[in-house]
Amino acid sequence: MNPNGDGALVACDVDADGGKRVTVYGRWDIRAIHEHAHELLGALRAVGSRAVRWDLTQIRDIDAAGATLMWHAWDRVRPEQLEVRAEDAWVFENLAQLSAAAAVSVPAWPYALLTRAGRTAAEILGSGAELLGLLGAAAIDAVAMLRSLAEIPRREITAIIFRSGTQALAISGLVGFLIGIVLCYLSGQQLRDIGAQSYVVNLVGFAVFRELGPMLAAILNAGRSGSAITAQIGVMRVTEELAAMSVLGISPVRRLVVPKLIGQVIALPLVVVWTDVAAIFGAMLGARLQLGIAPADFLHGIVRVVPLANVLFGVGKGALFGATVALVSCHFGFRIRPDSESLAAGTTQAVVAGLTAVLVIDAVLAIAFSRVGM
Amino acid sequence: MGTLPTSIVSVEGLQTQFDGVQIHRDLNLEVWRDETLAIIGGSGSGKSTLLNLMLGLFKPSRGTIRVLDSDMSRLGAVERKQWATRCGVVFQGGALFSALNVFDNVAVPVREARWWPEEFLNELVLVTLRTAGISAEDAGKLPAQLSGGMIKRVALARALVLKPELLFMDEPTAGLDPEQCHAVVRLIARLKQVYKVTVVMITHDVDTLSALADRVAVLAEQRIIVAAPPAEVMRFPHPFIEHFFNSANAKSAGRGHGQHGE
Repeated sequence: MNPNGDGALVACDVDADGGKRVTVYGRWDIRAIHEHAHELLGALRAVGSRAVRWDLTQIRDIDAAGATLMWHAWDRVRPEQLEVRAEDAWVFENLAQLSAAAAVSVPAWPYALLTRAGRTAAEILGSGAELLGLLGAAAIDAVAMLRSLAEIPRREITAIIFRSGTQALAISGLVGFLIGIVLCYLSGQQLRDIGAQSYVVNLVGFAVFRELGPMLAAILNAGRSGSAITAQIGVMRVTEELAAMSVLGISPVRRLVVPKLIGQVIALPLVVVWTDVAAIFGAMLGARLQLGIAPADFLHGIVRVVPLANVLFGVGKGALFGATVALVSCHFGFRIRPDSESLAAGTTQAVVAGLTAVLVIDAVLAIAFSRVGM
Repeated sequence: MGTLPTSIVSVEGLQTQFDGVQIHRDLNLEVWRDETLAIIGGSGSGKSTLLNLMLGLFKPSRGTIRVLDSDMSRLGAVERKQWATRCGVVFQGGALFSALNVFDNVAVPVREARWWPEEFLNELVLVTLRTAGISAEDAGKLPAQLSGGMIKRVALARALVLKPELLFMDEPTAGLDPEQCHAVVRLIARLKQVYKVTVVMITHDVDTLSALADRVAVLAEQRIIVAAPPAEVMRFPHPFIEHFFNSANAKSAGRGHGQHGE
């Protein structure tokens, strides 16, 4: 190869005093050498170590990439006998300073595992405490709002009722209706085998009003409204709207959390009633088709065997679930940092945490109120 | 120098229209290799549009734009990738990827081009960052944790890491305080020397202009009315140019007065 050309080249000579001298020629920038990084490093290592004389004055061009290869050949220590053009000195100075900086120590894996477990536990506890704080702040603001009724943000509340309620009617109705049919078909099959098909009314009635209605509504609500609430507050953080609100003396809790809480507490019980109706309608259709039970008989049976307390219990649960989803979603919205990754992660966490909270509360209520309405 | 300058960007007979609004009319511009060209123009004169056209982000209504020997309106996906390794861009707001830390932001072009083994990437990125004035300790930070000046520096490092032939900058000193502004101008001058790169920048800051630009192109009346060294442009008789430099002089005179007063 031609030492006067652009190609990167390494040559080895012996000086007059018998010392070994390595001379480097050509272009050593990333554009010129990116295809042969490993070969060039091999060539550098083959001709010399740190101990020999290095002459880099014949280089046509060098940047961080070329210098990095030489740095690796020298095992990350500047050779004592190094000649370099004044205009290239910066890159080797920068590399030397990098190596001087202490390497970050990575804890060995058992500790790493322990650290992670501890950190996760601390995060969950911290999250719980923050959630409680948010609930407290919302309660205080809500009470303060009740004192001066003019301050109630009616428009925000009705907007939430529209989004969480009205706009959820189609999907809640469809899911409720289908679950009603499925429940009726599955249980009807089993009950018919033992000649107890008329009990399908009891089974469907209790299941829908106590559990399925509120749960279906809450699951759909966490997926639809929960994620939307988190994303909305998160974007407000990214665009510094939250900061602007604080500067203007507007409490984000009062303006954002309280209306969502109130809106959800009003909307979700109504959605629960609607889902109940759709599920009962589906079950009624299923009972007619599979077991031959007349719709009128089915409805009479429902009214007779399912005490009203069950319906009210389900609707009450709906209000509680609505508040839970609103609170959890707002909490995760406020935790979002101003970057796109955090927004995605926060929205996912909000939905997962909201659903988990709803299920846990549901289980606790099922045990605590097991005698009510039975 | 003796040798004829070669063209690196060439805009010929450019016409741009958006929603019936004429933005450029018969615009011609030539950028020579190794020079620093500053494009100035009033607000809404189509400077940023011109930059986006040169980057191939918009298509012109008529005319040709050749950047690094490629016709920008006919650049396919494969050529675009090749082209991207030869050209760096610093957007006005930095346009750093918010989900990636500083290190990974600078590593993006290298990893995307598959130009450099991962085992040597650490030094390449950290040295490039140091050259741009960002220390290794800041390499783990997210863009949201950086100041405006640091964002510009990281954006410069990301634009230069593949040693491009051409660097586009949109308002490199916008949104910075005067001190940061001077620091970034000095940094750009140094990086231009180190990386031997042709620079095309849009600016309305006269200090940046006089410190960096070899030539100034003035965009007014939907075309380039003059493209010449700064001293020549200042003498060019045109209302926009007179207004531009006069208001800048008034500003710097006001600043000088303020300093004397202190």
